[in-house]
Amino acid sequence: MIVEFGHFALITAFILSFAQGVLPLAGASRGNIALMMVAPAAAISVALAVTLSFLALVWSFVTSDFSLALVANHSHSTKPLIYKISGTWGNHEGSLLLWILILAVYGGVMAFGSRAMPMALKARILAVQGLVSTGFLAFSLFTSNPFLRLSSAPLDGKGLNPILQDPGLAIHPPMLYLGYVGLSMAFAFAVAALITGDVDRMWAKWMRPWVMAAWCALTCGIALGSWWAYYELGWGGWWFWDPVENASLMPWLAATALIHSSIVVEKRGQLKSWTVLLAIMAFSLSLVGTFIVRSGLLTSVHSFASDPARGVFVLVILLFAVGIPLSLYAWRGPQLITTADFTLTSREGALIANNMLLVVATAIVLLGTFYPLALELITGARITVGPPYFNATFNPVMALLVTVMTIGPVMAWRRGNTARLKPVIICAACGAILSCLAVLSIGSGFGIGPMVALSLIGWLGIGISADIWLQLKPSKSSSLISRAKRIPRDVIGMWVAHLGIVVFMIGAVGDNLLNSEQVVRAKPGDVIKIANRSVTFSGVKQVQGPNYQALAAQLEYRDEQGRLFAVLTPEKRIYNAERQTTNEAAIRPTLLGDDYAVLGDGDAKIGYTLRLYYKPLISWIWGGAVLMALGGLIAAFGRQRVTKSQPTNAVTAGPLSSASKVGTR
Amino acid sequence: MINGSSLARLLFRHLHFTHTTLFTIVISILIACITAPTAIAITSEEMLSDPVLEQRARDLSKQLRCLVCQNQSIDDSDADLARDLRIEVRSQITKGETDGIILEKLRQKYGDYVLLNPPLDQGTLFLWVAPFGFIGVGIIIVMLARKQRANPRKANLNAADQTLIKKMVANRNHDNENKQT
Amino acid sequence: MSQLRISFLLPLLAFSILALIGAVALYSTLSGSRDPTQLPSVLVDKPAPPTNLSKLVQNNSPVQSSVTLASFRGKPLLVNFFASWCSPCRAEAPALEMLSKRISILGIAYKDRNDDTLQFLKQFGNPFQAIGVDQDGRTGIEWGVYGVPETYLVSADGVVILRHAGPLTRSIIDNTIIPALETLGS
Repeated sequence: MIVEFGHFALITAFILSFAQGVLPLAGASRGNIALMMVAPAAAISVALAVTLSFLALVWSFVTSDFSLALVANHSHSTKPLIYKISGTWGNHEGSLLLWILILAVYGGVMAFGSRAMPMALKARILAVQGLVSTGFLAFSLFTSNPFLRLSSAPLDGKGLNPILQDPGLAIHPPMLYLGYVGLSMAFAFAVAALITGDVDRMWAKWMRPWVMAAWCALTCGIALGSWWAYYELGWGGWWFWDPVENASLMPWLAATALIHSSIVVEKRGQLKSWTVLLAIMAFSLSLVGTFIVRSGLLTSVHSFASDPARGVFVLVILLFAVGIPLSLYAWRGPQLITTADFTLTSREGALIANNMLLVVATAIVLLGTFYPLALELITGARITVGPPYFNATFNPVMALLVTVMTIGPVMAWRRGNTARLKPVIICAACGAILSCLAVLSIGSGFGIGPMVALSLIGWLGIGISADIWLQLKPSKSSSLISRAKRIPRDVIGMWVAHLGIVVFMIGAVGDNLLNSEQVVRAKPGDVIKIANRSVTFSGVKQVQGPNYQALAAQLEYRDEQGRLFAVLTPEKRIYNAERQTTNEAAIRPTLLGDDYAVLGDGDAKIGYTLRLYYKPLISWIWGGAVLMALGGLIAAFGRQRVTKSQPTNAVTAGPLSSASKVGTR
Repeated sequence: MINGSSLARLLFRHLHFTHTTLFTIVISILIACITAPTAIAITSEEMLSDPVLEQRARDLSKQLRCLVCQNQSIDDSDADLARDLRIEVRSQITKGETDGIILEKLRQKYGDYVLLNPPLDQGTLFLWVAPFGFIGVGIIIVMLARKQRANPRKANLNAADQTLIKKMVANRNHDNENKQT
Repeated sequence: MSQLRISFLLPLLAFSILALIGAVALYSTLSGSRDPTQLPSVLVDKPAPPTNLSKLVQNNSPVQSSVTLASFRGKPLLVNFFASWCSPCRAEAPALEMLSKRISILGIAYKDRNDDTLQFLKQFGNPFQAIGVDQDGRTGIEWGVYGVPETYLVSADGVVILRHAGPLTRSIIDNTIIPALETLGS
């Protein structure tokens, strides 16, 4: 009964979202208030209907209702409760419904809030949202209906792929979708702007919180995915340049560019058409990502069992959702061109460089991801574009970006110089040289890539620190605290996010340069030396899990003085229902480095294969991502306060903005 | 106008067709992978005793794709074929072959597909040149935008206009200062 | 303004190319002309790698002998990599049985124990003229095998004509193997 109710709610949502998409658009163009008022009402109803539908599906998973095809194929009665719930989105149909749920909830929140926004703009934005959800609801209902019943229910389900039975992966998809789908808000803003042909500073100001929220979620989502790969796949890697990873990286790069360019629109009224394009691009790339994951055209370690027929539907959605806005852009975009009133050596210039590099990076990832497919179709040749390609092309672009990242924030709007520019550059350059020298004194023979990365860590880290110090330095008239209070929150957010990049780079370089590994076949009692620890393998134990049996190795970690500081128990699990084995790595994460152990095959007679790693600084990679997201949140929530009390900061220069008004008239 | 239900039926038919074929493919690959004796990625037995040679083997392994896996290098993969290829790489190294020759030999057996780093040739020329092209296009667009935006406005202003504007700016700044004080 | 205006078309252009790639790929996948799991073999139109394997000892015959590819020169040959642990190999056994009436087949037992191979042959039939044993998979690597079963058609002068990875099915035999055989004049 609940299942039928969920199905019915989904159909209702489909009809309502169609109304949400069409009526307000007509209303806004004719100035019909009643039709415009449909938008918020419909958006809230769609959000409710989809929520009910989703809850119905979760309920069938929790109660193990195997008469539902989806539950029978992807769940099992002995699974722990959390994985019954997360199993809801551990498959194509359920994850699609989650996607739609998040889209609908975003629309509902927008309908509730944003009261200051002009009615026509709000109606158009919600209408675009409605059209996107109509497409995806159709996708769900017509090709991937989660509510299909089986004619006869099996006694038990087929289970969920064991590597998906993991807390990291339970929250990874919702987080990622929160990011992907959040970008649809920016997209809706952009399409609405193209319909009216009007972009102003308020438009950017209203759009920014949505972009920031989506970006933060996407950052966390990608970091979670990478963290999952790190501990679950069992070979200590954290990024593989896999098509699905690339699919999440591309919208992230575009959204990062969008965050930066929308600042220019908001503060200076420049780069309007470009920002509109980025907003369309960011969401389009998440749709492309959906296409990659669900069509199965590009193979990946992460994707669901995929199906080209579904790809057809996503492609049709893609053609409408991206083709129409980009055509609109080609037609209307030139109207948004503004008069440039700045030199290239200015804050605007640095942000343009930032945007260009981020978009080039996006294009490289896109090219590398699709090139094998294109070449196969044209010439029939099969090639692989793997990590070496991306390291050779993507990393240099990022290096340039980091170079600009130090200079940009200390430049003034319109034309370059601030008092901070010179000292910051000098400090940053010293930092770059010192970090290089420091590492060369430890060892030599590092490649050019790591050396550049190291000097960039010094360049950016010291550069930002110098900037922070110069802005906080107590002077005669003001103390450190009173100066700190005057610094706008978005500047603090920027510092935190940019320092997050430094932290991330420290983790990535540390793991790359200092990682140590031991692969041995060990018998109980054997001692293995790795880094400066000695690891005693004291044997294996049988462990009975809730829905698996495992063999757990006991590894005693001792430091140089022989003190026991950790016992790691990597497991080899056999899942009963799915009849699959997984290797469960044991990790002891610390700030200095992770101890990482994997148990391989073997028996008591010949010994067991053990893979031990010591991965210095690797947890900084995810720490950096958390800092970036945190910085984004600070900047997003700090907005209101900044605009209320005009700070005496170079960011909003009074006389200059009045001059620019004259200039554009 | 496309009829919704007929579209759905069409897609369903396709769905069914591809489901069964894909299912067989996936199952056959899975069975091929699972039933063969497996081990976690690399084992100590495979490793060379000379740490320098072993490091070379590891580096080479990172450049070779495990053909039956999805985007994994043979170094990362626990597939049986990956293990055979790792052993092959090591036996070539102990024979004294150079890295380039080892990669080339495997390429002659498995094609470019086995190389994670796509070699530069006719087919991949665009792949390798395009990143530079992207930067070039970016610079051209920025230049175009600046040229097109800046010029006409300057050309339209004669000397009298400019002094007028300067005067207005000065007045306005003066006004602002007055307001603040 | 016109040059700048053109740049506003670039995103649409880029997207169209991408969408076209996606559409063509989907079409060819759905119509069956593209199979992403099939890798083209580099060996096609090249001489088959020289192969010398120890022969699978059958019926307790005490003679230890070897099987070489060269001994099959002079007429077309089908080379089939199989293993007892591979279930698609069981599925293609009848197809091989059928083909063995038209062409001689060299079986290569890939990474298998001899006892298991013999058991497999007993159970599913032996369509092979001779069987070589490739215990460590080195010969498989020489041939570019990436998963059993794989079947290669070798011409009379030792050139690889085609390779099929995966189990032989009725349609593959009718649509690819038989036509290729006919062009070889067999």
